[in-house]
Amino acid sequence: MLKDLFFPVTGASTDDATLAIAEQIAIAYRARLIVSVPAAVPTAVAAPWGFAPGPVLAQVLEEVERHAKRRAEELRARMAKSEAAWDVRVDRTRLFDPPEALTLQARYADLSVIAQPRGKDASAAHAYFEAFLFESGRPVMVVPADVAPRRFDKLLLAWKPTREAARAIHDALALFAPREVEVLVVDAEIGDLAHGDEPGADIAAHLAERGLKVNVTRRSSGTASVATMVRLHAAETGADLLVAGGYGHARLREWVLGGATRDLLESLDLPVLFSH
Amino acid sequence: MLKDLFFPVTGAATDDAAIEIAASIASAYDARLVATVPAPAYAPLATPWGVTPDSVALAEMLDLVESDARKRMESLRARFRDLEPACEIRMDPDHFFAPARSLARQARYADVSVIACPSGTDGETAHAYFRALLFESGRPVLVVPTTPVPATRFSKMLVAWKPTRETTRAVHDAVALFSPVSAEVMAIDPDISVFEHGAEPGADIATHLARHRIRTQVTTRASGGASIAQVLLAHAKETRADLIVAGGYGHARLREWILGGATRDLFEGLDVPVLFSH
Repeated sequence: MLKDLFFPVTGASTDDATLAIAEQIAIAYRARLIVSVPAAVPTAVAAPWGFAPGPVLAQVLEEVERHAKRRAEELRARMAKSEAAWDVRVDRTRLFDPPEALTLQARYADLSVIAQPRGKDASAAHAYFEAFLFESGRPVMVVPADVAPRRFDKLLLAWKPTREAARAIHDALALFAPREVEVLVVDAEIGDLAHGDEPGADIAAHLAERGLKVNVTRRSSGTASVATMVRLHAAETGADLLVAGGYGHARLREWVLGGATRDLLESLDLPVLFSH
Repeated sequence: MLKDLFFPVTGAATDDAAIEIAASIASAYDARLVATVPAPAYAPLATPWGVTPDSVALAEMLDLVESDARKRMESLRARFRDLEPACEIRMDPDHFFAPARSLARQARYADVSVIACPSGTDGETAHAYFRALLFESGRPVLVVPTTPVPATRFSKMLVAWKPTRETTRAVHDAVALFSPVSAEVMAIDPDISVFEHGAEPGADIATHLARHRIRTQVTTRASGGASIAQVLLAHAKETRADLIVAGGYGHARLREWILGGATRDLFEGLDVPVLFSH
């Protein structure tokens, strides 16, 4: 059950729109929205002439904290009128890795929400996505800027027989208690290491055991990308949320430069829940 | 919500006691128990003198392995006949891979796997299953003692809290599966620096658990010479906790670290089920 929702303020231009969506989700599930503003604290750096001088560091620190506090005040003013329960906080992070440091705070929530990587803020959003997916131990929801969020009653599961996908669907069930799951298998490879003889059948049986309405669809992508197939299917079935495993474990993180996870991340017009 | 439990039949002497506990947990939660017997076989190996074993010998070996597995399956079916259909016994005819890894793939279609606490001569087999399930299934693993357990419905959990992603997963998995009534968050020898526990070890996760309407209490302890596992187990006994929740193997550590450390220590003298996630 969704009780605490975590939203990291990334400093990107999409922050406001994403916050509004996170707020709607919090309202729909009567959850609390935790908004965290990072204050990137400078650390003493060894330089050829010794450590950078203390007074300078202190000045920078003061400036950083003042800036973060101001942003937090703005956000508190914005949230004051909200119907959602909320908390706006400043969290100290190390200078170079606010995303990694904020994942520590994300552990105390059920779910984090971040913006879909797009335009000039894409690389910042990617850094947050990767850090949260790999380090927080919690699922990450990626939302496009222009969706009207609802309750997530009908899920589209992009099924692959991997531990990441197994985690993602179980996380989604625990968080949203949906009514219906559409299991989509694209380009199933049948074999010992991959799907069994009936791709998607085992997970569908497990979902049905919980009283969910389940339907399995198998498609081959042909010349289209997996992400395109998923997008089309989501539109056809009217799913509220896509559920997918994020980056198979055999792949290097550098694989992030291409592949289905990245395509899904950047091209979808519905929210996506990823687990790793 | 617990609906499907997975029990890999490892062939260890501890199987019988553990499957009994798994079946009682399943019935306490009105869940289904799926027990799977592996039928592993050797893959032919190319060697300088040809492929060994040859196809005739290989076929014989496969037959033998399969008939053994079938016998085991039949005897389990007979034993749990009364519990059908809430208890299902299957066979996994896996011809090429290690049985532990193959069964870890089956575990993805359940909410949690149950295995016996590794001990005695079968310890290595149990460890292999534990590792495979923990690292490959994407589902939590419930390690049960082979002695009678205090409860098969878990209402009072003891969280071995560390601010790591594994422990975070374990806590959330436990809440989703068992909806416990109360939780004690225990931080042993906490490092209170900013990027570890912080000034109040356990306070943040306790606040979050309270949001899930779980009665929560935080305890900080110094181990003072005892191992982390000893402190945990003793505390569980004192407070009559019916489940311990822990992160399995921190991610920075090599799997070989398995040869020592808190996760493995917990298996020594375990008398309460432990839920591990990775």
